[in-house]
Amino acid sequence: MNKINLTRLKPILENWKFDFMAAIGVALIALPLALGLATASGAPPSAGIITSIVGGIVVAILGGGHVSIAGPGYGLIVVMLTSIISLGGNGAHMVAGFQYTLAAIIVAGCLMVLFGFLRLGILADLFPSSAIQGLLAGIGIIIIAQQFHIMFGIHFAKSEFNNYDLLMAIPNTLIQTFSLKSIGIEELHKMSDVELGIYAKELLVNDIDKLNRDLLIDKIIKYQFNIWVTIIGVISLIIMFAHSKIHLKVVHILPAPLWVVIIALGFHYLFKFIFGFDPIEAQCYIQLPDKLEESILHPDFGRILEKDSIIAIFSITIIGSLESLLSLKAVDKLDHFKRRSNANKDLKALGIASIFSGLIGGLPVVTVISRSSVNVNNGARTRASNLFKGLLLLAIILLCKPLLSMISYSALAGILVYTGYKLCQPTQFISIYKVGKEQLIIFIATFLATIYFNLLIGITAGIITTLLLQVIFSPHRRLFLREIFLPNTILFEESAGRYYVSVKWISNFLNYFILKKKLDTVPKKKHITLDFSLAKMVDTTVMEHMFYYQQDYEKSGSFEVIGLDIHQPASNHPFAVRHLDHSESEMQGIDTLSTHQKHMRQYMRTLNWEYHPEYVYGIKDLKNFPYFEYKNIDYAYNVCIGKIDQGHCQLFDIEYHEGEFIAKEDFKSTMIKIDIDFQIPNFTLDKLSRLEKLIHLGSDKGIELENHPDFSKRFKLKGRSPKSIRDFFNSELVLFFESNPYYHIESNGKSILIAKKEALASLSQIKALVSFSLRLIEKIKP
Amino acid sequence: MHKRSNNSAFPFETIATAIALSPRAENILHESKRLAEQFNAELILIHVGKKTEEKKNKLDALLNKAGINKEKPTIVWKDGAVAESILDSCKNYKVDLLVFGAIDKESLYKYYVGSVARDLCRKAKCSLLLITSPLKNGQRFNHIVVNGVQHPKTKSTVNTALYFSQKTFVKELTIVGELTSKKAIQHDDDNRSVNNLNRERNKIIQEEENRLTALFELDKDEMKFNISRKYIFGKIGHSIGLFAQTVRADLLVVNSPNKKLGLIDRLFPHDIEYILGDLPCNLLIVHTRNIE
Repeated sequence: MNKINLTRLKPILENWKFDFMAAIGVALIALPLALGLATASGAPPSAGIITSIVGGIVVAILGGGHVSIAGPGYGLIVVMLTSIISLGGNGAHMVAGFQYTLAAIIVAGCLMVLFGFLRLGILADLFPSSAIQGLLAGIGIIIIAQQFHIMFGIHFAKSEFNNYDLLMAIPNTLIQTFSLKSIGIEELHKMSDVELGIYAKELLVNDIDKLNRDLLIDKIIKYQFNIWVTIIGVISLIIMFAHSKIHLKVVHILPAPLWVVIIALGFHYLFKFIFGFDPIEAQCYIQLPDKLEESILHPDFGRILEKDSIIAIFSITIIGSLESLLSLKAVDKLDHFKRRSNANKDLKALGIASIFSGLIGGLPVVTVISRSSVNVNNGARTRASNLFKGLLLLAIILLCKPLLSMISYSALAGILVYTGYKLCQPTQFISIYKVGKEQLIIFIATFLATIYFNLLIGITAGIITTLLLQVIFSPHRRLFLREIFLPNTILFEESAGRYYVSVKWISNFLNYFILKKKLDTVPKKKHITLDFSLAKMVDTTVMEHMFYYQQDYEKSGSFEVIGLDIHQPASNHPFAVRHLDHSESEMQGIDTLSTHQKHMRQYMRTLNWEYHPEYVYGIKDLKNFPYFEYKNIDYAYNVCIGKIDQGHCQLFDIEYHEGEFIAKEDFKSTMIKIDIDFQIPNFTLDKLSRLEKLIHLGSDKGIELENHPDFSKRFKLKGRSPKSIRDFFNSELVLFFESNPYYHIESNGKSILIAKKEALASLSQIKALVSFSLRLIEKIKP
Repeated sequence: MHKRSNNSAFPFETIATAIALSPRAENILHESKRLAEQFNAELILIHVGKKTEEKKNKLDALLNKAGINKEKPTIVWKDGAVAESILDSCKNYKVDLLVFGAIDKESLYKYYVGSVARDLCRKAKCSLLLITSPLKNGQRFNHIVVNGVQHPKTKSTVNTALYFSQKTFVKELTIVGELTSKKAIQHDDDNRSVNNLNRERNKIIQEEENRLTALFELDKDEMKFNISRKYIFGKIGHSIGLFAQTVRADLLVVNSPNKKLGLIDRLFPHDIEYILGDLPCNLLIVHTRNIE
């Protein structure tokens, strides 16, 4: 027994320094998020911190993940808020509502543990992917609807407005803000009742008649915007949006949410300095109890059997598990060591953590993607970073409590609105539409049902829509439902280390778990051939999962999907639904070539290169370039293949991303990859930006070429063997780089990757790129 | 070469064919004739229905077309319920192999086994060969798939398949071990669990390998075809059908179904229902005598 414990502890003891450094970054980002998530949930701000601390400690000890972080989650904001309001009764006593909700959290925690024992870790794979995306987008919109007003200092009574009303009130808030109409409390007292009534109506106060004069004025103040609060809120939002766009190293020393906190604190002191007092009312600041013990609320099981509690329990269990499992899967994709997490074990740990959290007044604990990806990016290696994060947060709240209560709600709202936007940004609609029209229908159905009703109805609507569309579009309608539940998958070892998987009939989200279970028995170092030739239909969910399997196996094994050539895809996207059908053509929707593509084809003809406009799953060997080491390639298209004297050229438009979900950054670029048949040293050549020239912030200047100081001033050259690189960059080549436009160039010894920037190139730019590349090869050939 | 022991299913000395007077019957006759030649067996034709002059003429014409000397085969005319009549005749003439065609029904599953054929499969006291699409020149069995399920009947089935392969010049024979072990199927999906699972599976496969090798009665030198073994974890009866279809096998050889739910059946649940529901390819059901 001892021995096992030691081997399990060993990696933690060896890597604790990495984990601790990562945990500092995570704790700093988790702090504002925890406060924001808790307030957005209608719980006391301290509840978020409690959740984060409990999540860190319990899940680090019991969890099944490796570099995932547990804490309060975005998906549950909506569930918690609804539950607290409905259980709070007519007067919406938030504290009482929260105490009843705590009881629901504990029961939901027990259910999550049960889910873990029942091996329901596959739960996340049972939902159609477009419906999940619709659900996330719905959550995003709700978060925006809730938080947008708070950014301007408008605190609507939570019990009086539903999500839809709040969304519709956004124009009103904006009009108020732009008209800069804000009436001071003395002036309000001077106004007549009628005037007050009219003004209150403008501000969307809806129970004017029921309130006496003082209460009405009170409410007007809550409902009208505040210029100082707005400044902090809007600046916070701008910081969140601009952070990833600015390529200044100074900015990236701290994560965006921490900048928001620092700037919010800065404004607090600035206002005090300018005015001598703070123009923002105390109620706009985070309210933390004076003594820490007071923040611990205890659950009240008095209404646990009521309908609202039961809805809350199921919502927390389903949405919490779903968010955790999706995040866990996404984190596994980010993990540099490509470890697989044990989802069932993690569910149990999250359940236990939620029970503890609920007992001392915290929110449900889930695995969270944004903090986890920060964790990974900061170099975390084991679960210990989650533990350190919890302990650091505990230290922060004990030591810096006075500082925390100077952060205004509007700053936190800025962070949350940005997160909401990331969940439902318009490009998502476009990318779903690209997969297929029917996917957009599913997405929108889920999205709308989520906003109008609740998350559970939303996801159910998504599932039903998906199923209906699949049945309607299926050429084998009559047999569809019968075939779906037949055991349809086999796996066998074809020869040593090579596995063959065959899928028959229908492969969709309902029976995907059968396929997944089979696939997951094969270690990632092996080779898999997946044969869909006997399948009549393969849906988007399965196609998408298969795509990620391919990436997982790419490094040391292989994963090949075959037998889909005879199927009719719904669009030319790699995730499109595929039907085996030769008679009906209602699913045909493949676009013809765009003008740009026609010009491309023409240009490629003059070069005598092949041109393939369709989407391909990716370009071989790209992962061997340092640029793509931490990036995930989605797909490439407009692929042009040409032969030159010294090797092969591949020109392509490519889409790729860094991070997952909320932390996801998408990129598009046009690149050319040249496989050469001679050896050159490995190197990366980049432009040295003006700023980097001025301040060498922590970064090395790369390899300097002594004879060419001007070149070294303009370019940053990196590589593993400086000597061979110096030999390789002779005067002629240096002159070539100096006299040509700048490109990002990477070599991995056998091939060269050339790109202009992280954007798609126009035809003229492509011509310039091709010409540059061909001349470069001429220059470097032996 | 092989003396039929008490419980052996082969050699096939008497081959019978059930024929209806349909257009498909001609090809069935072609197939049966070829098989009878390959196995050097006596051919018996069974027709259920009243013997009339008109029918006799039709049958003669069919025999003519198939190139069968009408004096040579024994023709049995029997009136009554279809399945029972065929089964009775098989019993009377000590038939070793009954050949018949599956119904080709494109819109539903590709090949469908009708209720009569299903009855035959369940109740026959001899081996059965179901041909999905009978050809004029006779089937060419290149690749045969045999079940290697853990069951007392399997030994006889495997050896019948070897015998069949020898006689029909098969090129490749695959024995499929269908394995169900709770331990080797249920798992979490992290690295540690996957490794444990694979260790467990390899252990089971090693045992299976020994078991299947011990089944062979034929001499290795006599086998002029490749023999391979594959192991599938999954639902018994289902996985083998899908396997046969995946590797594009020409013939699937399985144990005959159990008739009574005895102790053995409880231990080794095996059902050909999956296969009959959606025929993956030609099917040989080996009836092993005296093991019931």
